[in-house]
Amino acid sequence: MFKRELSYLNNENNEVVKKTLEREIKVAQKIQMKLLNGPNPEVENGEISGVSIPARLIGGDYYDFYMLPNGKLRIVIGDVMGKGIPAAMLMILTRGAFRSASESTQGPGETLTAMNQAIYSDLRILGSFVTVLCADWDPNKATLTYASAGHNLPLIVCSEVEINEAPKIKGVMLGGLPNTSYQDNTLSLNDEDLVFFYTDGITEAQNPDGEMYKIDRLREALLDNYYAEVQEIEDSIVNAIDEFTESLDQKDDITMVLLKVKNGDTKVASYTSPVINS
Amino acid sequence: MKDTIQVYKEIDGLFCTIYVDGVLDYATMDSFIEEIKSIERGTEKVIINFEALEFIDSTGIGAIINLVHEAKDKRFSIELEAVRQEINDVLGTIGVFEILETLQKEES
Repeated sequence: MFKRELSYLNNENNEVVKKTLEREIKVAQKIQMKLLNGPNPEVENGEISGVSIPARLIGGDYYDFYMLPNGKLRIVIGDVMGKGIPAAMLMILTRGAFRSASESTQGPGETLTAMNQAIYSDLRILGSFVTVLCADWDPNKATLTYASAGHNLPLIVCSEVEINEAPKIKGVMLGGLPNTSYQDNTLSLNDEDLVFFYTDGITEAQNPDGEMYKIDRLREALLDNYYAEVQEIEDSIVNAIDEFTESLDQKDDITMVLLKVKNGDTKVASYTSPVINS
Repeated sequence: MKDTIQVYKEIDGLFCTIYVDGVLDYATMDSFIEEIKSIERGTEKVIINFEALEFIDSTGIGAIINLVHEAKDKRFSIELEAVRQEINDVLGTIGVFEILETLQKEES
């Protein structure tokens, strides 16, 4: 190892150094894409899909799924401060914390609490933070329990004319405060309801005039595609952003996770009166 | 939206006001960091005026969070002033105000 580093430093051929770096970045990109854009899980009474498109070769956005022993699916979406390689490294740290916390915690709030405890000091030393939204989908009860660590709340599309943000819930980003805890919020979903989790790379995507895509355009695109399957909706949103930005280089990573309820029957929704789990 | 930032500082006794004009993001961060670094020892209060701030990304928010933590260690207080509604909403969602309030309460 020492010899390798020494010969590397003595090598004055910039082209070799450049090629080595390019190769390492490509390997890092491959690792990240394999870990990130894995197969979508098959869930009972629902369809799920997710995609992350980094602004650079690798990015700091993150989503993941974790099947719990009780049949629920734990969903996480996050956005690491910054961009590129530094953000990607912290994204891997966050992924590890999520996987490990999911093994031993009951709900999303507990998961975020455990994640913050695990990575708070690392993030503080590095002067960084991560926003994370964690949610448990219960396919049998058709409920979504969620907690937020400073992340955008998901949008719930109930029909081709009705879209709402999930009820507000407090919670600071991971790496913001030590020993902080996160609360859960639960809402019931109807058959065909669509839950859209996202990162701000979508709403902050810019066109050549410097105008942002913003939440209103996103809401409109989701309403327009309400009747489609999750994969089609995902593609439509990606295309709508691309059309808006006129294929301009992305400034930020773009990530979304879509969950569509497929109960085959209609249940009474209690969307406007969520159950607060202490 | 312009892609630039102008940061300038006004000192009034033990109070220091930093005015941020433009976009505070990954590409424009350095001048803001420079102004923060030059805050003099003994300053009691740092006011960051965001009246002319058009956009802030996660890197910009990270700089604010780091300043808030630094303020606790160096024993000065921080106030975010004239924050536009849209930016106020972003800072609120991420938890900036809660961190500010919690750390400053601990300090007093």
